[in-house]
Amino acid sequence: MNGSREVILGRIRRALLRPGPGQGQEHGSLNGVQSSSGRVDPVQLFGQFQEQSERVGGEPRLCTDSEEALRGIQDLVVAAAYRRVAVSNHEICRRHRLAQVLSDLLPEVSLWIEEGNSDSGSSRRRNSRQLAQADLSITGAEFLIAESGTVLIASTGSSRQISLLPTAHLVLATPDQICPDLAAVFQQLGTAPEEGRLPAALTMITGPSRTADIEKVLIKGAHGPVRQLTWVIGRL
Amino acid sequence: MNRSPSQFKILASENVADQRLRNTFQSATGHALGQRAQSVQLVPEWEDLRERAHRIKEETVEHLDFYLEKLEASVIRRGGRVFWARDASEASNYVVNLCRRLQAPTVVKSKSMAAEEIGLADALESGGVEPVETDLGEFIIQVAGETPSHIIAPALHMTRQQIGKLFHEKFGIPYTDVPAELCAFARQRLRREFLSARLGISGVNFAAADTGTIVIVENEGNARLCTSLPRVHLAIMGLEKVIPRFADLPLFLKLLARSSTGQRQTSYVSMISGPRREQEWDGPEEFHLILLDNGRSDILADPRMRRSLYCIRCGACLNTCPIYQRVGGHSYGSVYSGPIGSVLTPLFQGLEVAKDLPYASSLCGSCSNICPVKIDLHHQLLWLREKLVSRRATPWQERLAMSLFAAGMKDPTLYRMGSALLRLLLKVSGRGNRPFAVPGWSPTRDFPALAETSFKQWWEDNRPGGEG
Ligand code: SF4
Repeated sequence: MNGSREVILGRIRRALLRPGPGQGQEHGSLNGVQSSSGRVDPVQLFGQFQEQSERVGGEPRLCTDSEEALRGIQDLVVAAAYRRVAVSNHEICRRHRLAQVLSDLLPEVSLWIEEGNSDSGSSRRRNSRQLAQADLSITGAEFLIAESGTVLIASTGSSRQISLLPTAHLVLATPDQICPDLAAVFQQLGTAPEEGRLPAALTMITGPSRTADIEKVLIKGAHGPVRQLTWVIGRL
Repeated sequence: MNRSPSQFKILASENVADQRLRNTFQSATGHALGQRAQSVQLVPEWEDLRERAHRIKEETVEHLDFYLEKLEASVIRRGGRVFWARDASEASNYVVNLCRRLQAPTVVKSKSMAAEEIGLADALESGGVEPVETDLGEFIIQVAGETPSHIIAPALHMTRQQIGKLFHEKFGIPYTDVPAELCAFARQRLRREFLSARLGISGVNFAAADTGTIVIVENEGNARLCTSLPRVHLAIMGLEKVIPRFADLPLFLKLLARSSTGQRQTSYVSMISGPRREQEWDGPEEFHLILLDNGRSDILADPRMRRSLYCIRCGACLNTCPIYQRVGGHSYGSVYSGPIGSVLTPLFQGLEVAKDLPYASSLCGSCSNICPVKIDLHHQLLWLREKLVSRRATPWQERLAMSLFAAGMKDPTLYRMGSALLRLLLKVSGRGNRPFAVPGWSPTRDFPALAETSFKQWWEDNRPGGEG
């Protein structure tokens, strides 16, 4: 291991004038921000999500059922002339049988399905190259956050790269996944997530990738997707 | 380009004279402040949130050893490795050795102030590894051989034409100064690097001690790529980045995004707990976390300066600072600029080297007012001045003037004589507002015009009811 551990801890304790290991004090209220509850009307929640997502250049949409969503995907692919589409193995994609239906609806498009366990390094690298070529990827959300138009995804649901490498990213969600704010999401995640429950990567996505590093000019699509679409499937 | 904080006065006067640079900083900081104000306005409980964040940081820093050990245990439990680095060279050596083991000729790197602080990129290069900066602003300044001029927007000082010319010359692409085209070129070029690199290096915005989760906040997606694609992910953080609980994150994320760019949420927030797990699709097989001291434990030893360790690097104090707005980030000669830089640089590099920085402030207190974790920045600057004075590190002319002033203030007769003498001198010299040249002081300052009579005289003549 490394010897500097003891040196650094020793310095800290001396600096804090403490003879031995310190004890943290837990604060009374665990959660720094209280969720602003009271706004649980789903129509209002989706409305807020939609407004906030659009504000940052996202493309939110409500689809009343599976059929509307699938037809919507077909229209999207045709309208943007997407040639390569990647579908994740997220539970919501399987539930709507995306892989099968899309291959019927869009025979001319090359479909890439994320499946099995891309365990070995070389197959993962192959996947990366495939996904970097994809025009559109379709994955599933864990939570939506109305206050900021944010989508939360987990590394257990889909791969990390499928939501990152393609030009456009469409994430599917259900109405019950919409939370008013981040604090509410954290309450559902558990205020002290016990060991093992937390996926290795939780990612919050708010609109498309962007940068303002050149003269503060806002540019969509820096390193990640240029388009970020979020479709909620179901009745509010 | 190697700048030193000891050159502050020279660099600042150069930069102040550069009209274009001044306009750039003035408009960029003004824009950021406007965005921030708008988004903060929508949070009625803002002051309460600042107070809570301050208290959580206080609690953490006052028990730093406890929370760091807790963080270490949590990261290890999640299958990660933790390395404690006393200084820049220990941290850099660890990374270089890791690259050797991985046989990695290049590494992709996202923005990290800690990495910048220890000069990691240079150390990697001397170790035979090519560090590729992937944040657009960092990429630009790396190609230009420059250093960052703002915590949030590193290439703030460059124009689109300069960047266009740079890309044209270095990469042989046709000249363009359209920002979107320049960005598209960088995206395409860096994709290749992302797909082949074996090691990705990131910074850390927050590290939750209870879950071992590190949090990275960004807009471009390059940090996500750095932490998702390569086989190994290494994150580097200053000791003070630890927070007690995962559940504290909503608070800090809210404060950070709104303070730095006025966004409700940045495009991406990655919360990473250890390497890829069994049942997951992808992600790095190894996760390394460097805990960097590099002078922080010394700062901790001063109970008053300790509070500078609460900083979450939002950049708001830079934007609001009337000095920063005019002199720009490079004048500070260090990776940390603006008010927080004027506090940290003397603490990290020594008061003697950075003795002008505590004076790079009008003490207006705007920085303390805007700071989302309520660091009393302008008091910190005053305390640093106090230290400088007590070490007799200020110029002898100033010390002489101050002791004369002190003597005069203590003795009414001396005071009267002194002020009469001064008035006489000013009148005789015929240059009422610039009586004598004091090098280093008078060229940039004017005396207020002299009143006809002294206040004492005026009072005696005008006192209502006369004597008694
Ligand atoms: S000192 Fe406060 S305002 Fe300045 S960068 Fe740090 S957190 Fe932001």
